[in-house]
Amino acid sequence: MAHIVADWIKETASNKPDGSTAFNLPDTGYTGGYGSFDSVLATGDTCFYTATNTVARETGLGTFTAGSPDTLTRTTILSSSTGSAIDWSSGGDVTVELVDPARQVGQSWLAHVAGTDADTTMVANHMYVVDMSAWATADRTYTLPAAAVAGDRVGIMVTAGDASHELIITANTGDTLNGISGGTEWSRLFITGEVVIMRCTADAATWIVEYDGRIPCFMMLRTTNATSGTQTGGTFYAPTATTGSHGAATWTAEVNIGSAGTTADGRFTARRANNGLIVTAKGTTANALTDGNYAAVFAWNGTTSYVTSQISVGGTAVVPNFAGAGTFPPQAVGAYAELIYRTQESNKYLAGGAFFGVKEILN
Amino acid sequence: MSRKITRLRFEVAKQRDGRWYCSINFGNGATFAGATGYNRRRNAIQSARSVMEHSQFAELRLYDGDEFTILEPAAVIDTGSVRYP
Repeated sequence: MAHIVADWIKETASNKPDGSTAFNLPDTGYTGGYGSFDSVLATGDTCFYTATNTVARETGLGTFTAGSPDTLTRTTILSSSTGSAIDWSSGGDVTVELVDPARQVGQSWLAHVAGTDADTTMVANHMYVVDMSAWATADRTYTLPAAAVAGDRVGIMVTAGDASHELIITANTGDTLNGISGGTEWSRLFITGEVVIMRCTADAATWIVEYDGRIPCFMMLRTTNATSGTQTGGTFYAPTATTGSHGAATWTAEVNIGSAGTTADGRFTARRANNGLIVTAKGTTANALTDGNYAAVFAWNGTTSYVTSQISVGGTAVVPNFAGAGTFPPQAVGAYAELIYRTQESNKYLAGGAFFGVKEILN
Repeated sequence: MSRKITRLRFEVAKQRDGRWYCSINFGNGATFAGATGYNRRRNAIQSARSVMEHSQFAELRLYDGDEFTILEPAAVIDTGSVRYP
């Protein structure tokens, strides 16, 4: 029971069926060298066909049954000259040909179209190839088509990403994409090389992501100099003084895939909703601590710490290293993760070389 | 906020300067308490336990009802060689 595709298969039906009856096929190829359906199909096989009596036209998915005569049951009508199954009984002879319907070809092929710097309602069976590098002013919403049929597909490919703006993907009003109602975003694209292909699984209602080629954001930030200024013992500070008030260290980005990391504030800021983060944080004090005192590095979201590393020292003149790794819970767009630190004694500072690594867990 | 911590893993090492280091990694994988620079192994372990159990910091504190199992110190690293205590 295979689906058969073949060239030059065409016959004249030996009956003129009504709107629901199968075509009877005489097992005789059409004039001009065409082969019979029986020559390529076995019982239970399916194929796409197009039929015409020179007046009416019908295209559909047929199911073949070998016999005397062979029959092709009109399993699904895809299109016709009347919009529904044709009643052939009052017209001329009907010729039936094995074809690939235009819509089917489009679903497989995904016609290339350039995506633009504008909100876009996409057309079924197209691959939107998007250069976002010149997007100047805003995020753009790409909306799936409303009048799709099951089997339709739409793709989006980012040939050049953007550090500031995102391409937002959503279903049309009343539809869903991976269960998310139209108007509410499924996710966002903004990284060079990201590709997503979506398939309609229920007419004008349901879309599923068929291929998810999003690339997780990943950043590795490192400080190049120690913090400075007035640091109060036991108080949390961020190396760049976004939390606290002492002098700032400088972050540099060793890796920043997706531009979610910003060196100005040392933060990872979610550019799309995610299922969480994998986080590592490491630090060393700039000055030795005295007996029994602690130093700590945390990673938090501004409210709650999810990575915690605290170490106490024995004896004098000990410079502790401390590092932690863990996970953050799901984030909404705009939520951030930040490294903060503290020492029990004042003005011990965080040495240069502090490290903050974050990888996005895609939703 | 209460957390259920089921495992705590101790790691004790003698550093190249002859001092002792002890870390306790919490079962949630995201929290670490430790002590370093102690002349005695016992003191490093006690200090790390103290950080874990009696810290004034909520982020590290264990709560009533928290469940945990302390795994014995995993290894002693003494100037490059490893032996189990």
